[in-house]
Amino acid sequence: MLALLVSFLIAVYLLGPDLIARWAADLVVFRKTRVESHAQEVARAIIAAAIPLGIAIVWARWSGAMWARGTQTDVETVFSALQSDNFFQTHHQQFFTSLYAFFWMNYAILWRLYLIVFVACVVRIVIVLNYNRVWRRLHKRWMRTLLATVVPRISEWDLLFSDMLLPEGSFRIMADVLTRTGGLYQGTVQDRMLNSDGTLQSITLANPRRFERNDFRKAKAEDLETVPDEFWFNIPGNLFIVMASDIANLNLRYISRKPLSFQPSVEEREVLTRLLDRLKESK
Amino acid sequence: MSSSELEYVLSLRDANLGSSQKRLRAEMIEFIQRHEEAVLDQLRAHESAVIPTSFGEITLNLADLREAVA
Repeated sequence: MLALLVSFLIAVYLLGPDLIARWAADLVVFRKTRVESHAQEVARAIIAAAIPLGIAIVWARWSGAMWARGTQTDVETVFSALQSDNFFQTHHQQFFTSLYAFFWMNYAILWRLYLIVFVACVVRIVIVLNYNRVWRRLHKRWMRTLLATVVPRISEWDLLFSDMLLPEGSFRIMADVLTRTGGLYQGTVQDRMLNSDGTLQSITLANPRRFERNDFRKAKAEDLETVPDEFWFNIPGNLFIVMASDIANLNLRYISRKPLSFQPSVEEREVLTRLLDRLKESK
Repeated sequence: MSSSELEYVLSLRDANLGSSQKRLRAEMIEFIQRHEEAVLDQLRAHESAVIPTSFGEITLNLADLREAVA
C-alpha cells in the first residue's frame, strides 16, 4: 500500500505537471521526442517540477492552508500505518482521521501547484506565439538567448519552416529543392511533415515549377546569352510533395506577401508611381 | 536545439529576410521597367500582374501597388 501511495504522489506531484507542460508546448511548436530512459524522464520531471512545487508549498504554508487541516503527526501516522500492519491494527481509528487530514493537506498544495503550472504554460504559449515581437524588443544578445529558453525543445525543421516566428505572419517561405537525382524544383512551402524525432519527412510545395537543366545546358552551349528564366516549367497542382530522403539541397527564402510595401527606396517608389500614373491616364 | 542555437538560427533568418526582400523587389522593379507596357496591360485587364522572378512568379495586385506608393 505504501508503494502504491508513493507512486500516486510521484504521479500527481511530478509527472502530472510535466505532462501538462508537454501538452501545452505541443499546442504551439513541434517538439523533438528524445528517447530517454525511465530514470532520465523521472529526473527531468523532478527538476522541472521542483520550482513550481517549492512555490506551491511555500504558498500553502504562508497562507496557513497546509496546516489548517492536519499536522506533521497525521502525515507520520498515514505513512506508518501503510508501512506496518501492526501499527495499522493498533491505530485503526487514528489512521482514518489522519488520512482525511492528509488528503486535505495534499489538496492545499496540489491545486496551487497545478494553478502555477497552468499559468506558466499560458505565459509560455503567449510568449512563443508573440516571439518575434518580444525578440525584436530585446537588443542584447544574452537577453535573446535567455528568451530562447522559453521555447520548448523545438525541432530545427519546425523552426525553419514555421511562420510562427516570422514578423507579423505576412511572410511566405519559398524553397529551391535540388533532388539527389539532379531535379531542381521551386515553389512556396505549403506544409512540412516531421517525424516524431523532429527530422524532416517531406515538404509540400504550392505553385511548383521544375527547371529543365539538360535543355538549358544544350541551349547555353549553342547560345551563351541564353537566360535560365525560359527553362522553368510550371507543374500543375498545389500539392507537390518532395520526400526528405530525395532532397540533396534545400534553399529557403522568406519573402513578404506584399514585397513592394517593404520599405521601397525613392527610385523604386518613382517607378511604381509612374506605373500608377500611366494606369490612371489610360482610364 | 539549445537556446543559443535557436537564437543563432533566428538571427540568420532575420538577416535572410532583409536580403531576400531587397533582391525580390529589385527583380520586380527591373521587370516592371523592362516590360512596362505588358505589366500595364495586365493591370488594366485583371487589376493584377504576374511578375516572373528568381523566387517564382509573384502576383502584383493593384491594391498592393497603391499601398506601396501611398
